[in-house]
Amino acid sequence: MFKRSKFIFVVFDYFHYIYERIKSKMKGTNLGEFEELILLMAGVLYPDAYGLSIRKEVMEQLERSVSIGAVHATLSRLEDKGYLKSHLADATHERGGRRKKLFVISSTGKKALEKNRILRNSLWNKIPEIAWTV
Amino acid sequence: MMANKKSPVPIPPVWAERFLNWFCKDHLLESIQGDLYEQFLIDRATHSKRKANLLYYCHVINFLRPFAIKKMSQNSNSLTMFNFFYKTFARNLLRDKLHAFLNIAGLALGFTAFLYIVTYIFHETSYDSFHEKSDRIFRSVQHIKLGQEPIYESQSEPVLATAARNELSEVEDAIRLYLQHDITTQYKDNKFTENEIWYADRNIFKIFDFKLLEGNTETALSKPNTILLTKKAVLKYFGNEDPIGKSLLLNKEKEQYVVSGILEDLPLNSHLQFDFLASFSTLPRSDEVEWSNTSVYTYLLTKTNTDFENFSQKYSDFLKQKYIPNIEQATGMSFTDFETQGNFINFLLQPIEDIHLSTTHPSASNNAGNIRYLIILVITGIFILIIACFNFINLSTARASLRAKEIGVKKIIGSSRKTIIYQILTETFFNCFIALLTSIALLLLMLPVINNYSETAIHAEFLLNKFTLTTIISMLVIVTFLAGCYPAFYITRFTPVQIIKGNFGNTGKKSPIRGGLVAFQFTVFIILIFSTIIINKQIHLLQNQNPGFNKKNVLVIEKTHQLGSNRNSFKNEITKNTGVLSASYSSSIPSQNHSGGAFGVEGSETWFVMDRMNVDHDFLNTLKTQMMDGRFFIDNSESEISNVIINKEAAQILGWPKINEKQIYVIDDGEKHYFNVIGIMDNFHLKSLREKSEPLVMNLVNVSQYLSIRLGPGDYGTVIETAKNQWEKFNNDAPFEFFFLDKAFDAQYKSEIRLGKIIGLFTIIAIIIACLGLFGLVSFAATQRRKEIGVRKINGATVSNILIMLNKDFVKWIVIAFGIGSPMAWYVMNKWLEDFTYRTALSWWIFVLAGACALVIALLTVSWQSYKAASENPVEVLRCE
Repeated sequence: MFKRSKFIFVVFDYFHYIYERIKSKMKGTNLGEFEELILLMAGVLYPDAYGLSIRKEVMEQLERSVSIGAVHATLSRLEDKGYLKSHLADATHERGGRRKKLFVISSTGKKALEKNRILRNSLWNKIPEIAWTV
Repeated sequence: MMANKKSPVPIPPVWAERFLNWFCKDHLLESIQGDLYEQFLIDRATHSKRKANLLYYCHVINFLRPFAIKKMSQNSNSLTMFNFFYKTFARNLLRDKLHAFLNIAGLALGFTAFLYIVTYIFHETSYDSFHEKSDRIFRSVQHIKLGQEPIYESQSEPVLATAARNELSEVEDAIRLYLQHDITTQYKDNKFTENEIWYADRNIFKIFDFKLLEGNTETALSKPNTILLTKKAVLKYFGNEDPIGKSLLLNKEKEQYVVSGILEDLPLNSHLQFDFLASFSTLPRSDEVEWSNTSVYTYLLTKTNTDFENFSQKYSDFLKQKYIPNIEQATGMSFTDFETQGNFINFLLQPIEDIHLSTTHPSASNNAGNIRYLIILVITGIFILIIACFNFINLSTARASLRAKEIGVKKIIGSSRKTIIYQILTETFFNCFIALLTSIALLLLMLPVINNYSETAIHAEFLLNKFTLTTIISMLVIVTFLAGCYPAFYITRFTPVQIIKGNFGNTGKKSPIRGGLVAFQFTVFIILIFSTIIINKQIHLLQNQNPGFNKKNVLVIEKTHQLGSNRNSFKNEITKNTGVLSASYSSSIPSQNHSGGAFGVEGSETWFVMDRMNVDHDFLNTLKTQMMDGRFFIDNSESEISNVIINKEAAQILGWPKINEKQIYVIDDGEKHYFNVIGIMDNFHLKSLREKSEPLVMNLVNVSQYLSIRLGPGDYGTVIETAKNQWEKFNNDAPFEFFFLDKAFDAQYKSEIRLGKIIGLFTIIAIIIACLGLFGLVSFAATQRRKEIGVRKINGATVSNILIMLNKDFVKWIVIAFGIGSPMAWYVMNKWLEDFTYRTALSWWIFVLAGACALVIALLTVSWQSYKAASENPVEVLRCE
């Protein structure tokens, strides 16, 4: 109980505990903008959608810098929500023998994307022509 | 490993990888590592190896996100315990709100006092550390012994800077600063008298890190008659106008100074405090090459990696060589003779950060610190913190019996003693933490009030630096252990059987340790209250002791040199006023700066360093000083010019009990000027009564700087009014400034008054904390012994019997505290008083008063509760059983 390292664990765990609680409260089914983008990319890049390839594609499309960590964090969140499914590919040499984690859109993921698209389309359709002339 | 080294495959930085391995969740690790490695290969192909490694580090650090960080311990037992401790703590806190309040309020007050001192100390010790090169900046100072007393001189010759820069290889740069007092300044219709105008060489910004908001650091001070103003000064003179290129008129002669830049207001912790910085080349003597006339402050910037020891030796020798001809000319003897007489002259390098707290070579600005007061404050602060800790210990051990059952049950279930100790410590930590937050809030709230009261300038931002933050955290840890350890061990030492059987100590009653702690608290309190009384008594003594002249009813008009040749007529006009008894010009006046010089006596080799001032023949009458022997100047006639008056101190060091035929002389421009001593005046204090009177020689000069006016009975308002009218008649430009001699003289005790105020404040805090503790103890004891009191009353005890029973322990401890505290207080105050020539007596009644104060305050606190317990109806107490 008195070891120093233990004390660090206590503090660490405490923060983790708080984090988990906040996370469990915040868990919703809405797709954020960046989340939607990553989810779409996972579809676009099928069957080779993994962290780095998605990041590369996002950076090219958006013309802005995105960190690997941010992409991974979003991927892992989408997986937690059940929008993405993942499996490990075979080991390759370029990655020093480490396997890729490949992502595929799940059926709920597809539904969420569709929901967003329908919502958006219906909103587009509701914009009166005259609004564009202003 | 060997294979890796040879292979062309690049390897990402090992430490980054290890770090990732350490914190990353296992099931994510492989894919993350893979991605990072792939990216690393791409980076290596396009960037240099270093850049790629750096990027790898950045990416790894970027993964420090909650989703990737693993849970540190596999089962979260410790977390559960932590939550549990928190829960019990919160419940205990809410169960007894009074107790919780006493605990936390005591600690919070202690913390507040301590934090205040920490910020104050930080401020005082941080002087000039904001200069980037502060470890290489030194001020050139001198330590001279010529005749009797050693002289500490902070100024040097204008030529020194150039010589040092050119002839000493260790010196990177050198700068001269010159201070001029009391300059009239004017811009359009805005006229002021500025207390300090500084002149500096053009390279000032190469050495000091003062910020220039507008203007060029290279050229701002390169031309004569240019001046820099701080933002504050700009606002004062120019308001919202742009001052650059405009002219400021200085002095009576209305010299034009062009504003060439705006300075950021100087940091509070700079020993140099100026609002006006003019170019040094303006000064007529700026190119002087003579080694005489110490008038400027010289700062040297040494090269990096200069060995200080060697260099300071070399420096002193270097300057001595320059000085020897000077000394030989001034004293008329060879340098070896000069030294064999016990005289010496040393040149020292004073690190810039030491200037503020230096006792021998203080800063030129009027904000010098006092290291002794700092030490007194630190000690007081620590003691107050200890008092607060003891309070906590007392309250928690006294209430141990309430927690006993909880701890017994825990022990029976199988908790180890360690766990319970850990729990108590955690609870103490929670208490301290809440107290800390409260105290920070309290301090921020009170800061303006405290600053105003104790005349300090502490900003809230001082709380946000490494020094104070470390102190705060270590204070939190130390106090947690100091306050938590004893209760933790005390509560846990009983076996479960003892506790459950119910013979767990009789906590409401006597405990030698608790008594000891109370005694300690009151010892500190007695010392503090004793110090407060003594300091105030000493200040009273300093202000009322006869300084050798009559300081009452003297009005002094300053800076009369601005009247020029009209000074005599000005004095005549003023003496015509019916409210004026007499008036006198003098070059100095008590409480103001004065100069000195070395005097020789015909037929003797020794030199006497004495203060020197110019007076006119009305001086004796106006200041009401006393003659001891001979006569004072009769009139301002020519025949008196070569006569001087000396004071008693001077007569003593000359060894002349009576005036005699001998003459004294000064050397000016290599020539001896002789004076007849025609009278000896009784000592009067030019400086504060802290020091003894210095030897003094008075010359007769018709008009000089100060005009002191002895006021007769009646309304002095009319005198001031007429003086002002006369002043404006003779000189319309310079502002009319005056002060009352007694006020100015008493203002010299500012630092003593400040110390008295701060100690007084701490005394109040100490007594509040100690009383909170006492109150908690006695109210707890009273509730614990309610039944006992009830039974005693039924058997015939009166209220006073019960009161005596409850109070006598506390009285005993306070008497002990008095016994310990008085000699300590006596010792401490005796040390403090050693600084003063005139000391107040440490009379017996002060001890009695301090003791009585402690006793009365303690008894009042205790009796409030014990009387309530003693006067309760025993029926109410006893009927439930």
